[in-house]
Amino acid sequence: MSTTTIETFRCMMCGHEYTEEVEKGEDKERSCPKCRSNSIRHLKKKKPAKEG
Amino acid sequence: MIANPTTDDIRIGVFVCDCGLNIAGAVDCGSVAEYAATLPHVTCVVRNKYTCADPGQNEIKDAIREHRLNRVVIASCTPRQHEPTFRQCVREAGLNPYLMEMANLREHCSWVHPGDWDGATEKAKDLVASAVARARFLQPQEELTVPVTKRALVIGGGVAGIEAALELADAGHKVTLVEKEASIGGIMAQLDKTYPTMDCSI
Amino acid sequence: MVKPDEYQMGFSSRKAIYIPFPQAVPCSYILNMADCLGNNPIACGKCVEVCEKQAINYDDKDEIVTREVGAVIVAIGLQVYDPTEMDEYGYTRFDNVITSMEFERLICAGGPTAGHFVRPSDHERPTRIGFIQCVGSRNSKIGRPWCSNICCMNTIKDTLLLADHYPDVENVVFYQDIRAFGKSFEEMFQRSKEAGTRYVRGLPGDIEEDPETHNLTITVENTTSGKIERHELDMVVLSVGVESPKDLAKISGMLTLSKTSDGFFMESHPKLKPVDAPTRGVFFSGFCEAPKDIKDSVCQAGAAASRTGALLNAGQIQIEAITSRIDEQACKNCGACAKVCPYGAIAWEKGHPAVVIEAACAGCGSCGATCQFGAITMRHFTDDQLLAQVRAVLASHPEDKVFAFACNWCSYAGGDMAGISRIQYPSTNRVVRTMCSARVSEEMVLEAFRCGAPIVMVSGCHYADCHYINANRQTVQRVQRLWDKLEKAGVRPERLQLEWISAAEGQKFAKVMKQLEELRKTVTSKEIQQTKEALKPKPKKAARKEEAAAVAN
Repeated sequence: MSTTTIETFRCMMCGHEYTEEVEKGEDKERSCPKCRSNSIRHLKKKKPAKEG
Repeated sequence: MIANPTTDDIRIGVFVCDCGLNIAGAVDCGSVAEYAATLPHVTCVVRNKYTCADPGQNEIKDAIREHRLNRVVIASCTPRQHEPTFRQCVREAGLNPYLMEMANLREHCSWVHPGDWDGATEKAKDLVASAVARARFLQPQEELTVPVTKRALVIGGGVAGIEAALELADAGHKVTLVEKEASIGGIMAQLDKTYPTMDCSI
Repeated sequence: MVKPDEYQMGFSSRKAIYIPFPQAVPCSYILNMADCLGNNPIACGKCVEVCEKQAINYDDKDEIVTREVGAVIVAIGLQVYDPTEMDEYGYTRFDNVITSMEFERLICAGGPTAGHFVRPSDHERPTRIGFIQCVGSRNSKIGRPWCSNICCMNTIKDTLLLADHYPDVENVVFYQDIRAFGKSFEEMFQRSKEAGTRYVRGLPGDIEEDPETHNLTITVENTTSGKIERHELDMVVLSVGVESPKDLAKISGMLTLSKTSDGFFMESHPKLKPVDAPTRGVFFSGFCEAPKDIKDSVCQAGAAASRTGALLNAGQIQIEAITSRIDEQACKNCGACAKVCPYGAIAWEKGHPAVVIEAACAGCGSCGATCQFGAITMRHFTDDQLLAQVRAVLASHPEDKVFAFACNWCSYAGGDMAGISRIQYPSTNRVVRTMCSARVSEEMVLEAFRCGAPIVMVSGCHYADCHYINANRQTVQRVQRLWDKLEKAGVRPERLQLEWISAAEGQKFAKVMKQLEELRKTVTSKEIQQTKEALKPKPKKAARKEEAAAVAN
């Protein structure tokens, strides 16, 4: 049974946005694949994209 | 022991350390000391060449007695190095060790901002202001004492583990040595001769 | 059953039941169950038949032994570099290219050849032997920039052994620097040269093999003469470097230790506390702390034993008075603190106030930052103390400052490391220390913004290094909530930054400070004013809420 979901993250340092497969309950240190910053914001799915 | 000071009667002593030229070479310690004297509740400011050395520590102790200080701020190096030193120092002068606070003017300031005299000095002032502000709220604390189980564990049975275990056992301590392989000896047991003596490894 | 003998580096064989090596301690036979065919009379079971003492028990199992200890010495050693990836030297392609560890077995009287030094391809004695230094050391290209410390002297020793056993050998050593700085080391180096060993400054680009003779040819630029040299050799010894053992991460996690960039354990202070781990009661001995030879390992073992002995002799330790205290009157019995405590040090039952078990509390402050009702006091790191620091630092010209919270064990120590290493960064940052990043409450971050901070950073240990088991996961969740909150209030969330910086990462600390300073320059004073307005506490609403809560209780 797969417990993974595709989640969206945004780097608060360089703005890079990316998706990653996330396993439920995983305990993982995140860093930006582009700039290595640890300021990785987990973007919630429910929220509709913010306008302007 | 000085009684638990109330917040109405806070008397802070600030000790600004030159650390030779380690701090004074990149920070205007005189101006930091002058600034410290303007901060609320600061009763006395002392500038030392080396606060951690005996003369420096004696100045702290003298000032505590003379000015009836009940909070001490030491603007010198990282608390990760000398917090135990200065806690002991103020304890010897009758002050609860938790009434001492440090500002890190060396590792976090002078050593990383050489050539930025003004910037480093401004930063040093802020670090002192931060420590003084915190000191106002410090309270005496009592430490909990817990027993230490009188046995040591040594992980690894190579030369470093064997030696450490034997030394401890020779000193009369109980030691448990763990090794993942079938025999102790580690990598050294696989060597033929060892330098510089050119004798056998085992 | 015949298997390669690990002790002899696979140059000879052993059975499934064997003594690891003649001087083994304990010196008894072991039955390697991975190799054993088992006690099935059809398959084998021969050892049981011949053992008169009936010492063989196939059903013996691993068991867990529990011992309570007051101190731990970590002496988990090293791992020798496997040069397979450096294919230019053909370690896996050419029989006569061996490692320095294999050399040890081939020259040893107790080795597979009884000390007769022969080359693997034809079992003939080689006379022209080359040594290549720094294989897997001081090589940034393969991510191994450190010096392995022991290989120069080991090669010098090897050349002397060969010259002593076989006066006709011609040794050539290819090196970048010879590091012979220990007591009587330089003398050995001179003796090696006097014994006829040639030292060529320059590391070969590759090795070629003559498929007929299996002789090896090395082409190298002699950087002293500037000339290209070709050397035909019978055998090449790769003087392999060392690395931290693969169990290091496991031990590291168990004892909350950190490692330096070379992968070895990080000590409490590189100069003044070289055998103490940052975790109290844990000490290092030997190679796992940094590459070192036997003498230095023995020295450090003595130091570690002495430090351990002092602790055991004292018989007791003082616990720093930084533990949590709960005010029963103020506690609203919600239990949130108990949920976030990594140590299970808060006892709570529904409908009752939470209680701290002081001996189990380590003082991280997760609970203090979580409590919504001001019922928890973190001794020596109180809300009042930390908020006073925030306000003091940002009292004048906050717009020029980068405000940072740093945890005592890692990120603050990383700042210290930047200082010790004299790595420069902009002087605009102002750091406030907490024991753990999880101590930093939402209120503290918001207060910093209210005071006009353009940038606020919360920093702590890397996940694997957290000194409070996993308290810094609370930090992540809190920062996530704050990003949401800030965005909702119309504040650019990127003005709040999160970084994990280990005690060894002085470089990273400086790099982050530079980045934050760049980010600070993008924040306008107008923006700061708006933030102050947007984050103003709404006293009326809060009071109403509290009233409602009181009624509900």
